[in-house]
Amino acid sequence: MQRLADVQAVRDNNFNLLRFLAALLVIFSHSYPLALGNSSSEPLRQWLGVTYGSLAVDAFFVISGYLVLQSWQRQQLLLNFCRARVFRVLPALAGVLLFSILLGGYFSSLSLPSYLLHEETWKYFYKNLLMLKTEYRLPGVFADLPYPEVINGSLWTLRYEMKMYLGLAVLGLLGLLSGRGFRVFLLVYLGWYVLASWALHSRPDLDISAEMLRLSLCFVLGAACAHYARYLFLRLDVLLGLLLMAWLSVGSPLFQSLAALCIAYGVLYLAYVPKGWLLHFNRLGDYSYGLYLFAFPIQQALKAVWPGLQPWPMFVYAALLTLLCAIVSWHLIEKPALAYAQRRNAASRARLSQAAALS
Amino acid sequence: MTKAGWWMISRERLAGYVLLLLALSLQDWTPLLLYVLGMLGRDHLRASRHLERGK
Repeated sequence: MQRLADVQAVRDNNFNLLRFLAALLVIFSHSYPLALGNSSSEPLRQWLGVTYGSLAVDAFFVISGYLVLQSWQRQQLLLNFCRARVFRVLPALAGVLLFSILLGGYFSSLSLPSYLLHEETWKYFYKNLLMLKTEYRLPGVFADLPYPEVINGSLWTLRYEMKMYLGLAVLGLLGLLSGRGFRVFLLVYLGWYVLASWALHSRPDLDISAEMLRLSLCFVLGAACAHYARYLFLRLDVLLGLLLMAWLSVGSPLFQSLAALCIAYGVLYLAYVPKGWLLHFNRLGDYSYGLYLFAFPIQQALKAVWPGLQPWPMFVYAALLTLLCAIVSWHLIEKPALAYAQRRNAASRARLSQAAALS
Repeated sequence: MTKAGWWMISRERLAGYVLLLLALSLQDWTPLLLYVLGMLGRDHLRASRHLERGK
């Protein structure tokens, strides 16, 4: 039986592998609406009412909450925290937006000059990059597909991710991420969550975002696990118990919360408990973000080229092609950007300790 | 040495709580973004003043 706090510092864990599998699940899940035009035939939706993709996104947010809270506690400066987040998310996002614009140029019904000079093309780039609003359309691209006019349907989660980072930074600045402050925040958050969940079902006039509710719960659960790691034991019987509870709650209003709890515990269990050859995966790069970002436009392009493509072949071909893009993105964009941010952060920390020594 | 109570908060934190309440009531994240940018600006000013004193 392992206590989370004892294994938390171990860098050789399975988070890379879990994120990679979650990204593959998203590609698999998207294959159904993109090949058939609706997600009602997605295997898990028929069974549990949720998709593999939504469970995978939940797992991403749990991992994010867990690691980002630790990052906040590790960074000594707000600037370092912001730099680490911005250089993780934005460079690859810029890469995929440019890739989508180039891909769209090939598939657009407009001529290349009018497509490139079209206002919507550049709106697509800067609005998605600055996360002002998720833009899905490029002029004249993928208009006749079963899932029409959506270039990259995966981008919507990035706005929520950035909101979580922003919220976490504000909570940290307000002193609510350490000691008693975290307890106060957690109580207030859980109170809001219960009220908002109730309102979501019984007061549709209140305009509550179901996505914000679901993803914030996963993020906060991940952060709470990082904060209370001393009290958390990784046990298979607990995981099986949570799975059973989630299973029994299928179809009830409690399902979302219990599923999030189960995913949070399951992700941490799988990240730290299985050892051995699985850890060799860490020798590869972290291709999950690239897989997640590049898959959707590639799947749409495959459907445009091959209209009869069914979900399973789409998943296999798209996964292989996207993996190539993800490898290129990791080695040419993400890894250098992260290295740059780490260098700058180390320099900031050195300046800070120098100033502390002088004063 | 007396221990500061949780109610004894700095002006910066007070501003943060006000902006947090504003963001929650407006359901808009802009006040939080402004707060973080403001705090980044504060850190930058402090660092430059520190450097000037060190010269």
